[in-house]
Amino acid sequence: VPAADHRLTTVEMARFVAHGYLRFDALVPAEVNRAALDVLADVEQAKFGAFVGNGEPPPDQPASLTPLADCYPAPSPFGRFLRLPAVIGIVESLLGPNPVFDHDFVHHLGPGHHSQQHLHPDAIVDSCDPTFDIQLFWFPHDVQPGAGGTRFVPGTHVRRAASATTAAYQQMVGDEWFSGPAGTVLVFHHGLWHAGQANPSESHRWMYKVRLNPTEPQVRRWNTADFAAVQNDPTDHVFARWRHDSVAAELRRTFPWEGSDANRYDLVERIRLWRYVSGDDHFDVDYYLTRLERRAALVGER
Amino acid sequence: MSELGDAPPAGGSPAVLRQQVLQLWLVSAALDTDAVAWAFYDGTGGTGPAPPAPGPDGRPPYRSGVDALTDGWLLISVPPPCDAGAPPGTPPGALPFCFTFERQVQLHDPPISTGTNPLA
Repeated sequence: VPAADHRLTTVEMARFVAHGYLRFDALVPAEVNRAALDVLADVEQAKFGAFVGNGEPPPDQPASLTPLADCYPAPSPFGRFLRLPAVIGIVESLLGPNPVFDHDFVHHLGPGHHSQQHLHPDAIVDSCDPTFDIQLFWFPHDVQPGAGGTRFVPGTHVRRAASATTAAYQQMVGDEWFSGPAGTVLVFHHGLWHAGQANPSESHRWMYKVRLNPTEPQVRRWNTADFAAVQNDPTDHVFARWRHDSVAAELRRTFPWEGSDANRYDLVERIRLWRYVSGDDHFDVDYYLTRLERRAALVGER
Repeated sequence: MSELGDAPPAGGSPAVLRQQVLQLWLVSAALDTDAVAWAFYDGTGGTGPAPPAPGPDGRPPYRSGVDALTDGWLLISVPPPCDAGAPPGTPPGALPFCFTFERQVQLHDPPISTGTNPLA
């Protein structure tokens, strides 16, 4: 990948499609982290005040549908974050050109914060098509283990469960709780199950979260220099002949909470998502869709 | 609320019954398959037996539903049958195989309820 090209590779995109998130440790420079920490408390107060009808949002608060490139003019630390070349590359890879702002929020957990959220996707109202939004979770300071790092469950983004149902899962095998160095950014598919946690530590936990929408098809927007080398054909089948260096190998994951049956249903959804982002309607893993489509053609349902 | 009619200990209050509830989501409808998610609710307000401890490395407190039975939990609900073969394009949703267990606990000095709806 050229140094000037901050877009994701095909393998990184496949990893996002499989896991529903990507993690970039210490991506944001220390100076930008410090600039954010200088203003987060005021921004939180203004945004919350506006939310409850007691005041105005921050003066530079973007409206939904604002082109991302126009959000938070200099010297806003949020604008500096959103216009980092690495962030631009990640966003363009996943959403394509000209993404728009959906909303943002400051997530603050004070020392000794007791309550925690129930597990939920940020998609109470959602479609069944494979288009997706992304959410950037920016942690501008170190987060120690057990100090309020967000809980999330890799691989759950392809499911369409109601948040009122996922709320019951107090713990799942394969849960992760974020901890990491200052400037780390988690990039979530909007459907990934997650939950804010308690913060029993003696430190504040700050996090800036922004949701972004695509405006154009999210098809092959990443750095596709490795695409031809890793994109497998529909015959890649783990019980026949298969490759270990292909997109299928990235998507063929079993998450600890799935079990073998659920893993197959989830894998089909990953295949559908990869067909969308790759623009390859014949892509398959382990022959799941090809088998059904060929049979359906026999009775004219295709 | 059920209250037991047994005689109180000398000078004590009568025993009352409280539930502890354990939910296990298994990978199939078979009770002897692996648990992958769980939840615990305590009607004793923390005065009853300790909740089942999670296993190492984030494993569930019981490997399977049968293991919970063996440890004395009583099964009180099973998941409905689940049809196979949803057509592609129908994304999967919630974890389908939830088994609910209870443990009945007799308390002589139950905690004062804090669950009264303040809006009622």
